[in-house]
Amino acid sequence: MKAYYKSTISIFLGVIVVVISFTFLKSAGPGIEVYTELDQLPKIDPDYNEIMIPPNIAPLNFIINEKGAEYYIDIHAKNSNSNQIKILTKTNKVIIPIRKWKNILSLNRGKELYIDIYLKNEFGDWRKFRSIENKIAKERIDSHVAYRLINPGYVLWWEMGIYQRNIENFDESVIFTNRLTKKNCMNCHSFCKNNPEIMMFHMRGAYSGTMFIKDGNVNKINTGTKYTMSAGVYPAWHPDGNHIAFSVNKIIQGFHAQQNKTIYVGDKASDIVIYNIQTNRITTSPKVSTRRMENLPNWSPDGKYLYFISGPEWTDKKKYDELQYDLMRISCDVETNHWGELDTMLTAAETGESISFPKISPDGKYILFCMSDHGYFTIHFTSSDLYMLDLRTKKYWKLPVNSEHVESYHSWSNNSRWFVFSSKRKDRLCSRLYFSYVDTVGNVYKPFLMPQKDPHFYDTYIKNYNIPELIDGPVAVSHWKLARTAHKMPIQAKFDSTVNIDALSGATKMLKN
Amino acid sequence: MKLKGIIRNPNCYFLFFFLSLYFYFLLVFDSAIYYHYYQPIFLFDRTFLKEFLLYPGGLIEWIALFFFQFFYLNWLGSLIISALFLTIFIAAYKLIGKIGNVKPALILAFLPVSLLLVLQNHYNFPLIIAVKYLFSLIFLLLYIKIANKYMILLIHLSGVIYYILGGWGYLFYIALCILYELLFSEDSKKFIYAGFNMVICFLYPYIAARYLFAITLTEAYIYIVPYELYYEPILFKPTLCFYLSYLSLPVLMVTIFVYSKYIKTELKHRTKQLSRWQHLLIQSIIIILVGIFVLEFSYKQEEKRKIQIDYLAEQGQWKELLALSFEIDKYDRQVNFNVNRALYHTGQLLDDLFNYPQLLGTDGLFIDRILGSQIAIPASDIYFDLGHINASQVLAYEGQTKFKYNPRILKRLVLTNIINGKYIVAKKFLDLLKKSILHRKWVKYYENCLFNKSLIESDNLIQSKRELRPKFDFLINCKNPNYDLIWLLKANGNNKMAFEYLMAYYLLECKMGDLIQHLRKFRDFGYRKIPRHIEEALLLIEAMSPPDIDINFNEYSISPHTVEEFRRFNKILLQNFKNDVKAKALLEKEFKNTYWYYVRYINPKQTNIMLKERKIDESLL
Repeated sequence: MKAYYKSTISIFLGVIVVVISFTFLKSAGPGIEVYTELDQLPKIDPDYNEIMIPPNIAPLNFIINEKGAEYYIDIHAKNSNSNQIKILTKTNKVIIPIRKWKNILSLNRGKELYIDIYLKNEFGDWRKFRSIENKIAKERIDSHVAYRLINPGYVLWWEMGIYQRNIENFDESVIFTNRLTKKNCMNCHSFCKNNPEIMMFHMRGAYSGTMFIKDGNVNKINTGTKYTMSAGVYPAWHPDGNHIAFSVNKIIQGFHAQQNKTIYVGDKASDIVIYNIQTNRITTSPKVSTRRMENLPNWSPDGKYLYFISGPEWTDKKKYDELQYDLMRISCDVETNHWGELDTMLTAAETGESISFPKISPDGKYILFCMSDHGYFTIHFTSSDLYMLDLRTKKYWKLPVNSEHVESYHSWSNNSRWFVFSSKRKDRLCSRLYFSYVDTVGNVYKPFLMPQKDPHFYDTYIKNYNIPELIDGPVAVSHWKLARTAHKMPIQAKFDSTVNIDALSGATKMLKN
Repeated sequence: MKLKGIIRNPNCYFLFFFLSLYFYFLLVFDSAIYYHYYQPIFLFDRTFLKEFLLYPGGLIEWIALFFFQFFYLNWLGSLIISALFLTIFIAAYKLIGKIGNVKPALILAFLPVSLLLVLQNHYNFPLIIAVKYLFSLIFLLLYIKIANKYMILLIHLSGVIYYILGGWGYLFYIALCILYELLFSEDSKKFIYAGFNMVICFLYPYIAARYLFAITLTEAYIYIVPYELYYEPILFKPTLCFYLSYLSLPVLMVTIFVYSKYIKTELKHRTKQLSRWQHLLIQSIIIILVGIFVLEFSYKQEEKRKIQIDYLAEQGQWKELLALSFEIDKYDRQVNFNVNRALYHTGQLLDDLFNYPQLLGTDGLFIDRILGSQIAIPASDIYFDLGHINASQVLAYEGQTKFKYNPRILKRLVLTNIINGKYIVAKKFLDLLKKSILHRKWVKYYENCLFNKSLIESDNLIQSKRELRPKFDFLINCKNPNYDLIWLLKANGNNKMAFEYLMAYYLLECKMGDLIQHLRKFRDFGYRKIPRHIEEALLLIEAMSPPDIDINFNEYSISPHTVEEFRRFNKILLQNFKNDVKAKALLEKEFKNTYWYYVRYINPKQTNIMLKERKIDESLL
């Protein structure tokens, strides 16, 4: 009898489990069967519609800006019923489970990805919006992006740090923070060929110097010499990983009194120098240290050419908002220190605008750059937009990724298929990171905002994502190791005594012994 | 009998202590002033919380901030702070009860409390220190209670305690634990336990700095309060009293140990024993006397008045501000600065500017010549007053860099962005402020403004500032604010404050030629008479000009009274021209609030008083 009761109870419990499971599956599983189709796209924030999605990106969580009592979200690839993500939620916040998301992306590379959004109104009727259509790219994006987080202030600083975000998930970690160095300023982090093992950044104020990280070794160098007008400022790693081109600058800034403008940052003078990590020596050439203002260097991927921008000599008579930069290049053999002839790539006279932040794609085909009505420090200029120059045809064009707000600093992925750029389009105040896909013929796709676990994150986050650099893996050197080196006195860089430049250029000082 | 029963119960003394403290904080200290000084904010926000979880000691700071925000209301703040000190008192009392049966337990427990009260009586003393002190004591009591049974668990939990308390609080807690083990524990393994505590006291902070958190070793071991509190305006510095307050408990423990072991029995035989209620009564009388002395001795009325001045300036209560400024004895630049603003807003700037000693000249008129985040709020205020909205906004952003959640700054940024028509940016700051329960009403009003054009158009503050804004662009020049004032006037001829400040600037800089150039403007702005200090300046110009140069003031009549005063001033000066000290003393009596006196004796070009950048002792950072 006891056995009979036991089996009855087991069957009864089994039935309950089956019923519950079935109910559960029905509510979140097969989806909504009765609904009205709407001929409109749902409003979602961030805008993840008609974008190219990297196959290794973190879930694109979003907010549905449509009023509803309940929401049903169905994420699926084309002709694929096996890999669906179904979310039933009473809030308009859509948090996509990361494992399922990764699965769907990896199995459907090169295919379309649909997001179907259903909404239950106050009468209990379901409505379905038009499907959001995106495409999953075949090519992955670099796994990490490094950036500096700073407040919107212009002159002072307090909390500041260089961070890295794993864009394959939502992990953000510290590379280095000024909490470890008495709140000093740090800036201009840069990597060699997207390699997280070869990096540099500057430290200012207390513990000043430039930190070089290469293959686990950390060194702190004072790149300022009595022959140069400043320590190294804007960096560009030579592909050999042993040389860095720096600009040296006399920077000025001013604030506008009228409401449509905020700040002007520019130079009174600037030149370009090259620092050799192995010999700890700085050199330059009269061709890149002229009375004109040479700035923002960048190497071609083969390391044979140095690209940079060049503006007219500063005079007090010239209005700061009329100063425009051209795009130049010069051949340079860093081993022999042999410099070729200057070559003008694109002039401000041709474009009518000032060129800034030239970045050559790793495949050597394109230059991605900014243009604004004046100057080069584009992060504060609403006129700044992104442009592309085809190095084969020398044709340039404005990218469709631009908005009417600031688009500024950018960085290519290792495979030249993606780039990240900063833009203030979201809240007009803080720079945020956007990713965009570039196909093999140079078509640039609609950009999308770097996803966050909480899609409301950006609403009240008051820090700028500054100098985004894509890197293929995390920076492994610990902040502890960096701090130990940072606290040491810097090693003084030497200036190449064979270089002879007119000291009156107004740029590099030549106070030779 | 009933009375004796009450007196015997120590809870009565605690209640009495609590009530006395409450009324002290309510009526004398004024918790709302303390709130104003710190401008604490607590946001119900995950990112806000996350920032506190990134370092040991952050969690407790987050908890303390939650309570600190209620200091906005004096009665509630006073209640909280009194409860905090009462709990420390009770915890110390319990500790003494646990480690030795000594009669003057109440007085002994009051010792650390009184030292903490001395510290807390200063407005720049961070509340978090008392909170951490309390938690250290609570953890110690917990340790004593369960140490014998669950020592291994406690040693593991010690890591959590370190994370909660942070460096300094943990060091304090561990020191007390070790002392307890060595002096009072009856466990046979007490030396091992003390040793364990010693080891983990070094180990956990090291692990934290080396592997877990982006903090320095110094911070890992002796972190007390957030960095920004070491800087202006708070300028927290651990004083002797601070160290004594932490030293008091270990000293007490040692004293009780020595007393219990070596003195108690001997004394018992020698002295006449008092009953328990007599003991308690005597102790409470001593506590009251010591308490009154401690509070009276450590309280700084002047500190409070200075903060009140800033509070009144924020509220726009200019007359009250001026009245209070006379009660401040020592010169203070920020008081000077706010008094000048108040003088303008009450229409007295060019008549009574020298009622307050303008020791720093134009550096009392503008405050941002040396830019620092500590002056960002007042500097933003003056530009906001002037309708120089972009300058005000730049300064607010600079302030926000250091005090990122300061509600005053966030509100300023809401306003400047609304005035500039940047509603999306304004909304961002409103969304942030909305996460604080204190500011929701303010946020609601301006949130409505963003979506209601007519509401914005009917808002006097926004409209008046919009009208004052420059109509064309120029570059802001905080080193030479007179240029900005000229530009503001050029860009908007109706900016009366810019004009008066420009005149005041010329007076303070003794730029007489520039002053004369702008005389005509007095008519344009509808002045019925020339303000007193301008009259004084004109008389001085006339007197100092070479006889062959004719300066024509016919257009402007100078009052006979001012002319007569000037004669008298000169007469005293001439009579004592060989004895300037005497001349100064005589002139000070009658003329210290005149421009002539300023030019001769106060003008920083004469006195060589200069602003200096303050150096901060960074050894603890």
